[in-house]
Order: sequence, then C-alpha cells, then structure tokens
Amino acid sequence: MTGIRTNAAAAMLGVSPNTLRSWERRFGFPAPRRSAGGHRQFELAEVESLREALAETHNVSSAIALARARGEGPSTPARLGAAFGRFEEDKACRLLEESLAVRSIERTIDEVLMPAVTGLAGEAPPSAEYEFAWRLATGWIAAQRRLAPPASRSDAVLIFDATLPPDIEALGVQALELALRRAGARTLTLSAATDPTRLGRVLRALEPNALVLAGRRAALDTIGRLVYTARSGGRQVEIYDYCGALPETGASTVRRLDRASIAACQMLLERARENEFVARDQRPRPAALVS
Amino acid sequence: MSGAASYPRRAALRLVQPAPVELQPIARFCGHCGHPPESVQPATRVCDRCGLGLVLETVVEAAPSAGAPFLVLDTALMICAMSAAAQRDLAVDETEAVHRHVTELLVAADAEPGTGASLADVVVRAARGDGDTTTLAVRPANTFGVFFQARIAPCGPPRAALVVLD
Repeated sequence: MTGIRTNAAAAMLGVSPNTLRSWERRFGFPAPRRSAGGHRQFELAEVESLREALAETHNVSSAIALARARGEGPSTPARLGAAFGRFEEDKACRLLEESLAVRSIERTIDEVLMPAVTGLAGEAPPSAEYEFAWRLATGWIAAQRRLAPPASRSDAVLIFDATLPPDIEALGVQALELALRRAGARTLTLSAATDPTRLGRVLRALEPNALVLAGRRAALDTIGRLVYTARSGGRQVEIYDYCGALPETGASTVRRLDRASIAACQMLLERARENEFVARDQRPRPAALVS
Repeated sequence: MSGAASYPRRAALRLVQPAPVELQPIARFCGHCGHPPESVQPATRVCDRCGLGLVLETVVEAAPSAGAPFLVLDTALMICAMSAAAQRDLAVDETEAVHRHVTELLVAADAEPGTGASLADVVVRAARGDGDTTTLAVRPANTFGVFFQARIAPCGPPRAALVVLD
C-alpha cells in the first residue's frame, strides 16, 4: 500500500498541511487512513488524481468531485473505508468488484478489504461503521467461498475458531479458510467451544495434517484439550497459531502464521509438502525379492 | 538557344507580418474569495489565503475585487465556480450550483429582448476566449426587482467566462 504522510501529500498538491486537513474535514477527500501511531496516511493514487484534477477545473470542490469520480487506479483501502464510513453498500461492493479486475480474490482481501475494515476497528464498543463493514466483508467472503472449487489436494486443515463476531480476527479466519479452499486444500472450521470428546468422527473424516488455533478468546486448557484430542491415536498433526491464539511466551514451539491470509496459506501448504516428503522418506522400503 | 523562357505572371506569395497584439495586463484572483494571491509567483493554483479556491486570471478591467460576487461559466453555460459572495447573494451553496446551467440562477434582465447580444452569446464568446469585456444587466432567476450589472470577460485557466456581479 502506497501511503504518504500529510506533509508529503500537501507538498505534492502545493498547499499547506492545514489546508489539506481542512479539505479532509470539509469535503471528506482525500480520505486518509491512520497509521498505528495515529498519523494520516494518504493514498498516493488519490493525491495524484487530485493534483491532476486541480489543473483541469476552476475550483477545489469541482476538482475533488472529479478526482472522486475518476477513481484513479485500482480500488484502495482508503476508498473502500470511505464507502464503509458512509454506509454505501453498493459502492463498497463495486469497489471490491473493481479490485478483482486487477487483483486476485486473496489479494483483494489482504490488500483492500482487511485494511479497510481494520481501519474502522479499535473502538469499544464497535462503531456502527465498523459493524457495517464487518458484516459486508463477512457476506462477501462467504459468497466467494461458495464459488471455491472442490478440494484437489490431499492436505487437510482443521481450524479451531476462538473468535466471536464482530472480532477483526474473525474476518481473518474466514479469509484464511477461503485461501485454503481456493488453494485446493480440504478445510473445516469449528468453534473452539466444540466438545473435544465429540471430535472423533471429524478427525476420521478429515484426517487433518494441520491444526490452526485461531483467535484469542479460548482459554489455554480448552486449547490444550482440543490439541490433545486432535493428536490422539498417533496422528501427525502440526499445530499453528493464527491471530494470537497462544500467548507470547517466547518458549512456544507452535508456529505462528502470518496475519495475511495469502502468507498464512502458503506457509501451511509448504509445511504440509515438506512433511509429506519426510514421511515418504521414512516409509519402510519393501524387501527385495530374491528369485 | 534563345534567352530564358518566359513564365506567365502569377501572384507571388510574401510573408505578411501579423498585426501587433496589444497585451492586456492580467490580474489574478481566487475563484472563491476573490483576493489576489499573496505570492507574486504562486507555486500552486490553490489560493494561499482561503485554501478553498483556485487562482484564475482575467484582464484587469474585468477582475473582481476582493469579496465581490462572481461566477465562472464554461462554453456550455454551466457553472464551474462561484465566489463566496455570490453564494451568499444568490442563496445557493457552490457544491449545489456547480454543473448546473446558469439560467437556473441568473437570466438576462433586459426588458426588450433582441436589443443587443444575449447573455448566452456573450458568455459563450468569453468562454472561448474571444471578445472584450461586456456589461449586461442580469437578475436572479425567478426573482424580479433585483438587478446586477454583470461584467463578462474571458478568464482561465482552463478557459472560461467570468461573470462579475456589480
């Protein structure tokens, strides 16, 4: 994501930072997102679009309307976040569809949808804008999941989801599941509150080679019982932590997955491939036939 | 061999020097507040006083004074910009007026139509960059008894017509 700070954006437009901030307040454009430290981050594409529009119009409001209408470049998290902030469902869906023209579904989720929704998160209780964004994102990801092709790999991933709506981590879990399904892996997501004593049929049907613990709402003993059950019977199941399921102690042997669904999915599938090669090498070779 | 062949006489081409163009002094003003830019050579078109308008140029005799009501129109007679004073006098916000036809806000006030160039003709000529500064009487649309003397002249960039309501 190409974000630039207020001073740089103002310099590009030839105005003072105060003028740029007053445009943001008055016209809602350009619409920056906030960094972790609370600094404004303007989308470079939006600033460039506005700079061009200023040269073609006679007043600032017309330039801003022109820059908005043009929508220079592919959909950005800032534009999607602005649509969420105005509860514009049609525009948000259109921006996601436009993003698919230049990005894959996974990149659209990682680079546009998740940052846009994350940008609205943080308040407690959640704001109406965030809930609207979260529900729309959930519905959109669910629609993509229905279109995912059938499994084509032997890899199977069992995800224990310890999130609750409208946690931002819950969206991350949905994104990871979608990425795995689209990669051809067999995937099943269960709540972390599932009774561990009733997982037998699930494990026999799925035969997972990876177990992902997602979200931070489950207690450690609950997680422990789930992991114990999944590994019972000698199953070789690798355990992964996604979105902070396990506390940072520095001594954990559980691999932590990247928050981005693409990177997390890649890691899971690469590890599964490595483990498959190792298992194949360790398989006892048949004795030679002696005639 | 006889001497050089004679060619039929025909008109000759010669370079015609263009008539000297009188450069008219230009004045800069903000499309929102009407003030000239503070900097002599501004690095940007955005007004450095109010931050809400773009710096436009016109001939000195047509330039609005600071805080004067004026509009900027294109060749299609659509409103491109309005000064803050014009928004106040015509009781309309710029964001609502921009891209609307000028006749929704202003119409010619001449009692006898056909007694001179129409408002549309003058504005279109000015928006094309042609013509001198012209003065016409106008009134707010759907309002009688209120008149403005409108000074209409070319302005830009980009090329447009400036209508200053005196």
